[in-house]
Amino acid sequence: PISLFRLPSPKMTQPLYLLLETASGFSLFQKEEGEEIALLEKEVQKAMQDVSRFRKCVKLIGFSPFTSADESVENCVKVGKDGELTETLKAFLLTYFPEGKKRKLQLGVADPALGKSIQDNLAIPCVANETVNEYFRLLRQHAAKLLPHMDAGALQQAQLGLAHGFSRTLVQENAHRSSNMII
Amino acid sequence: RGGRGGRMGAKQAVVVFPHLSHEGLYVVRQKEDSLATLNMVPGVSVYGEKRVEVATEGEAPKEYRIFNPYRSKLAASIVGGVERCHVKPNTKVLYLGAASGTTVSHVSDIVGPGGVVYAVEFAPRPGRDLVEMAKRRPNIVPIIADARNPVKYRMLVSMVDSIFMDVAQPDQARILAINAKMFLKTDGHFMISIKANCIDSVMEPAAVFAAEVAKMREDGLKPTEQLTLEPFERDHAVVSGIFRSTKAKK
Repeated sequence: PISLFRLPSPKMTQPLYLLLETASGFSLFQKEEGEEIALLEKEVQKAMQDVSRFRKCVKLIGFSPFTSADESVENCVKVGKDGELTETLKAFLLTYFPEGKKRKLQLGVADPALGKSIQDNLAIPCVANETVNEYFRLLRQHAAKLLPHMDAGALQQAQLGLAHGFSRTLVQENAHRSSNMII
Repeated sequence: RGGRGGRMGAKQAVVVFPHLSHEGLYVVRQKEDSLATLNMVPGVSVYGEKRVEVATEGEAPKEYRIFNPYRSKLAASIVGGVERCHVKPNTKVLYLGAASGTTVSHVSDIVGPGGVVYAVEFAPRPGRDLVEMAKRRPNIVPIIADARNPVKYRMLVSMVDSIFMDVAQPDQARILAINAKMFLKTDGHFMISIKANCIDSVMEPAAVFAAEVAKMREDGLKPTEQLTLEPFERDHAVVSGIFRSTKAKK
């Protein structure tokens, strides 16, 4: 696959990428170069409610949909809940940040534990902080419009299916645990 | 309590009309008025609640489920006269402390097919009932997870219009704040049920509520209304408000 990774111009600070995990798959965004946006400013918050305004701040670099229910549950448990790296996520990240290249970038993640897993295993520098979390709020809000071939209904369907799969896994685990206690 | 569901939809004429102040809620006029929601799954009671069928000429019959204020803090706050209910038709609601899903099922009725309820419960036993109930109601996304750690269920939840919370934990204001930060829209609303002696069993309930409200303000959760749940619950209050309001003056 073609790497869309661009080296930053020397004057710029390291470019910020954002890893958004949804029920439909993994996606990668890049914050547009330019000034830091004061996301907590009331006026900015208001403006960012409009997806066309937000599109000027971030661009979609890549999206990799889950190909099966099992894959989505596995990733929801390992990546989402436990902050661990899976083969799916590894392959996704390496597509855009291939090994052996200089990685002058920061990857914004929602979960610091996942950031550590990525950093330790793939040596991609990660960042998890308040600023990044503000971007995730907006990415989550506009996800259905930002991701390709997606709409609010499809995303909700994916969440519903995944939630049942995810919860079933946990309830089963716990069912064993509590029955062990009784015996 | 006790007794069978009774003979629902008997020959007696039952009159049901929309609640005067809150969309998606209904009042069933019998000997006494009772609060009800329009049953999304006609013919099924979720926890043994009574159902009432109303047939209008030329229309398919509609079934309503009685929403008991002694069993639900959301119902208690509505019967108690809360000014604004933030659980509305066609909205997305994040429900923290879903338990086995009795109130969640009514929230599912209220938001209707055009809305979504993300229902979070950590305890496995009630969680199992919640998941089971959600199978019949496709607008409920059941999530077995700890509301203290919203990052762990980020893949399952979108940004929501409101958060309803009933967790009875000493640090519930903080739990609400971290969930709001991740999932509640700018200008979204929250409703939180606070049980005074769960937070501090020595302090006066009124002082406990005031302290909780102060904590919320620090996190951008601006309370706009507070209501005690007497006579349905003792020393309980429901506080509701707006998150990161862009409308308010600076």
